[in-house]
Amino acid sequence: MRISDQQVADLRNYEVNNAYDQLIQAQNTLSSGRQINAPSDNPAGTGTALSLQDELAQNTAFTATANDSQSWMQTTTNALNGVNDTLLSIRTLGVQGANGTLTADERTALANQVGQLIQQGVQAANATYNGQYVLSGQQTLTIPFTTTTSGGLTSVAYQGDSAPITRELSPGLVSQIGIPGSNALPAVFSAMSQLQSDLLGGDSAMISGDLATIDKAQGGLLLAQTSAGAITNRVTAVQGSLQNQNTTLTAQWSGIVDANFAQASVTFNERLSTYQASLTAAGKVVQSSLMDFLK
Amino acid sequence: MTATFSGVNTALRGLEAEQIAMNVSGQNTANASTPGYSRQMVDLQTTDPISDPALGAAGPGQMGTGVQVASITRAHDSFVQQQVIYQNGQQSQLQTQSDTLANISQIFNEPNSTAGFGTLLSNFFTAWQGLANNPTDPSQQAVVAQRGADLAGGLNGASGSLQKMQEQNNAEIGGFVTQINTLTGQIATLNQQIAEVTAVGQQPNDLKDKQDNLVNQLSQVVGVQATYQANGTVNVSLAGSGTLVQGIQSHQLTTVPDAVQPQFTAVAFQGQPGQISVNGGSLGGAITARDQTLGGQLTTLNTLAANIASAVNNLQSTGYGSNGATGINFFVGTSAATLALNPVIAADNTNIAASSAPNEPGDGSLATKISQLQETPAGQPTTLQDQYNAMITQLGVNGQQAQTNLTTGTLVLQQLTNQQESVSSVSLNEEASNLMRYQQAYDAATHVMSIMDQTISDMINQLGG
Repeated sequence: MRISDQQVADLRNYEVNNAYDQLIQAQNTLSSGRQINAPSDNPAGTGTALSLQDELAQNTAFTATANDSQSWMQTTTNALNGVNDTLLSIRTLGVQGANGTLTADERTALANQVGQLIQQGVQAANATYNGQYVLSGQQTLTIPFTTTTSGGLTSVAYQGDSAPITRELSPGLVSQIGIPGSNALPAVFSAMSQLQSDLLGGDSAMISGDLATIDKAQGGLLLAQTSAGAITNRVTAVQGSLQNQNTTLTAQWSGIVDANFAQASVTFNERLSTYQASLTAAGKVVQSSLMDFLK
Repeated sequence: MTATFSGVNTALRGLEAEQIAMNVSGQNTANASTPGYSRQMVDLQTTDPISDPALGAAGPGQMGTGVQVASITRAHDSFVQQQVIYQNGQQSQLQTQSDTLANISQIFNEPNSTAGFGTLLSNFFTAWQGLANNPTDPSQQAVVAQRGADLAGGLNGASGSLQKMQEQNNAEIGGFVTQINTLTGQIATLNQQIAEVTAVGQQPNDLKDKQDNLVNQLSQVVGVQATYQANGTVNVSLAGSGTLVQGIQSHQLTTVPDAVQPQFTAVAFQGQPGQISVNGGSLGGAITARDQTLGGQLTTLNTLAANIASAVNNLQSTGYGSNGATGINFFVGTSAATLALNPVIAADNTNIAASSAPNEPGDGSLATKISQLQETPAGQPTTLQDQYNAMITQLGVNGQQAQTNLTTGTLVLQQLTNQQESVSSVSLNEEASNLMRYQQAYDAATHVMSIMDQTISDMINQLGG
């Protein structure tokens, strides 16, 4: 092949540029710390990275839901425990009241105490989380339990509904979160009111009968507490798995998008050597021609 | 019998021919780095011998009369030149294509888990999940409204950037047309000069180099086909769209409003009705980028925007806001450019429907359904998120392909240039070698003349004396 001087110069430019371009690409990977800087760097990898990004975003959202649900359940459990505490105290008063030796005044005093405890129980049941009543069913803006007192008798009415609060805990899975107040609590409050009424009435036998009603109502309350505990456990499990998932997703995303520094450094050094070699070759090639020997 | 002084003449012709040959070498050496210069070669031929029929019978045969320069030709491979013209057109278009795709990629800034365009979409759906947890919380309602406005604003911005790029490409068209007209005018003028030179039997070497340069420049601006005529002139045509240069006549192009998209410019022949389709070169690249690359991207983005709006609105309009309002759309507008948060919602966030039934403040099931739209196809073949991901992946595939094509094209062009330079460019070694040869021949011819002179002077002086 005939070799012209222009050809040598052009080849030199082309090769040096080429080596330089490759070097800059390796440098870009190293300095940005990413092997995918634009979708065109690796379209398939970009597709996977985008899916992982969505899953990460969803994971964050589901984690927020789980944390929120956890707090909701905490408030619910505290509320149910509070009601349970007052129920136990009222039962103790009922046991005292069932003693036939008490005077009417003493029973009235007990009835007043029961009335105060009912108010206390209602206050516990009307707990709110983030401005929402946790025991109103879906009527979260309506106070669930209201009391009316007439003639020393305290009665409690439920204002909420029986529809449970639901949350999407994991993709596509909508679960019941929270216990509607219609579940177990009206029976508890009505047993309390009944005891108060019978204490005022003074019939020991009826008071003893009320104790049985209270025990039955407490059984229902215990059931509600148990299911609240089960929901809390489920939410805790979801939180744990979301956290694991987050770690895995982050690692996967990083594996696709981020540069492997060891590999990137090796590539960079290889290309640097190539570039330096091409510069050396370009500098040395054809420094003289036959013209130099013409005399 | 030959004339006494014919030998002197023969030697003189040798001197003259070698002198011309050395001049040509000088010209080649001087232009060793002139772009587009084709090295020239002297074509030496023997002059006509003496062949008088009357003398022929007596003599030993035909007697030579020396040398002459028959022609000075340029070293040129017209086949490679045709390929270069084609490849130039491809290359400029590929460059524009690759640049455009890289610019589009920058709009979306993917993959990026914190600042990519996709986060606008996932933030929007995440906000709905937050609202589902606290359906009556004014701050969650405000977040949903804000994320909705952000998403709409992001789509407006992306659409605006794409349109801006379309306008930039469009604005270049006029300049390219002017460039084409200037070049075709110059080629036509050059054709005339070349025809005049070849008409008197000479080789218009330098003019032909100039012609090649102009056609090369033209082929970078627009894809053309060149047909070389026997008299050295070139006819240039747009592939399938008409003739730009025919002999000494050049046909000027002009810009007209595009028939389909009147806001854009199209190309037409001056004085002829109808626009023409143009391929290749920077001009073809600008038009392809504007109509296909950017236009296609806008269509995809508009479809995505319309799908987001319809999917969200279909659910939203069936639900109930915390103020009891129902039948209100979340988004207004149906394209990426016009999508916006419904002003009714922007004015009062409690209009955002999170509940499937009225008067159930704790019911966030509708908000949950909307947040699920991200991953659940709603009356559409794929999910909204998949539609976005597919758009970005396609952009990556196209970008990668354009880069590969560009790299391949650069390599092809480099090889063609290499071939062309191998044939046409000056080699100083070769010129030095030629110069030595011509110099030696010139020296020898002077010796021959000197001996002739000696011989004749001997004859005149000694015989005459």
